[in-house]
Amino acid sequence: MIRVVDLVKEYRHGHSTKRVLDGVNFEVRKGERLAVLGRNGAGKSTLVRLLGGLEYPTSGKIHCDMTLSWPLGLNGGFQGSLTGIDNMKFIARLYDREYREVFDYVEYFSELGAYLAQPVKTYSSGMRARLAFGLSLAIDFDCYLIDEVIFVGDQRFHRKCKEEIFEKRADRALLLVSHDAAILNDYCNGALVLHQGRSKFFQDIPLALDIYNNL
Amino acid sequence: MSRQPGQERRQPGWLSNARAMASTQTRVIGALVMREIHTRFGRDNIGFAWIIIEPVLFCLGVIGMWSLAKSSSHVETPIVPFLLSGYMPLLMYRHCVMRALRCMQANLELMYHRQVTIFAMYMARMGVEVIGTLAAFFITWIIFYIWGFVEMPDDLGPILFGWGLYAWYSVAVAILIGALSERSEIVEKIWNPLSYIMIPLSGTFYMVSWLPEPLREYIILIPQVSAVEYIRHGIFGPTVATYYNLPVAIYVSAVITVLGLYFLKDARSYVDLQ
Repeated sequence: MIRVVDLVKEYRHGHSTKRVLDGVNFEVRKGERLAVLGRNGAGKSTLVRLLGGLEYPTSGKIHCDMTLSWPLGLNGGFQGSLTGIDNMKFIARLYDREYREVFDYVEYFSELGAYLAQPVKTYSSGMRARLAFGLSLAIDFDCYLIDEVIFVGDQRFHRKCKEEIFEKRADRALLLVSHDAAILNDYCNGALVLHQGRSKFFQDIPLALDIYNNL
Repeated sequence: MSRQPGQERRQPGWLSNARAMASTQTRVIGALVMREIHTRFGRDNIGFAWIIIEPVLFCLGVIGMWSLAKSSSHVETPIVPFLLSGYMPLLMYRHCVMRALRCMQANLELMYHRQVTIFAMYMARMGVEVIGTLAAFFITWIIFYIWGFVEMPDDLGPILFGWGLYAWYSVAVAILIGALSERSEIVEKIWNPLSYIMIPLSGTFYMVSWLPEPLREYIILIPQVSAVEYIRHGIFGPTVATYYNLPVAIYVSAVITVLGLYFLKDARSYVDLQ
């Protein structure tokens, strides 16, 4: 379970301080799939970065007894000048996984084939997304932090993601940042709406979307 | 303190915790070292060879200039071992600091993986640099030995100890300057001119015995000068006069290490990810 208590994050720019998150509280239980909704600048990405451990909160606590993926977005996590294979080897070593198993899974999931021997900077965003998703699934986390922009892939990729996350790994938790009603309805069973630094949890996704649209 | 890491894991027993952390960090540093080697030395080019070719070219160039100028001063010191023992540690020092400057800001993609600490990043980068240069030093030595430019060193002990001291000092300065550079860009801007000004103070291009008597005891208060002189003591043995102050070098390096680690501790909170 992840339990976020009174999370505050401030950014200092010169002399002014901007409080992006102002006391955010919520929980994510095992198998729960939480959508994070909010207008631009509401602090969605900040929240994900804090959960991912990329940044530290100004105050408040994040209690967590699950393993969390790194924030899966279009960038981050990969070294562009290295090949897909070298990135895979690095991440397998980092997370203490057998390289062979990671490779087999990523090759199956990503369908990148010979591209895996090319530097990651030559990949299209869809290819990057496939590699990132495949790798994080191969490492096998309890909870995945996902930025919706990663759903850039084609229908086939979407279907595969759904199959791998929902059917084969139904007990995994998910935190999905998204604006897209269709994706939310498909993937999530709860929503967190961020507005002016505060958060509110909704069990009912259509209601959350309704409120979000009227913000 | 408000800058505590937000992530908390409750596990019983601090000892088993510490042990698990140590083994994780060892694994992480190992992974970073492999990545560093792949990125630095590549797969398609001759990568590592450049670490050796560079000092060889430098020595050959200086030998060429020397013989053209037919300089008669200081001929009693064999030129190639003198150059190698000064230039290669300096190279290591400069590379260490260069690779530490804004290292975190330049490797944000690594920060996505929570077990990668800034300390592990520094250790991996410095480790590759130090071991690479040390290997290059001995390989270069063997090459020049085969060509007949150098003889076998007098005593390996002081050479290794001197290198160890120089490496420690280099890493300590790199951590300090690197940690400060994550806080402010000004540090990097100031470091560039400063590092050039400090080259004459590194003991690279002279022997302490060439300096006037009263200056000697002060110049060897600089750890780099003592370390280089001690390496040369190992190379030349008693035939060449060398001056060094090892206790001061160790003391200064230790102080810089503590300062560096202090500033490194919360450098991560200064990194701007947006």
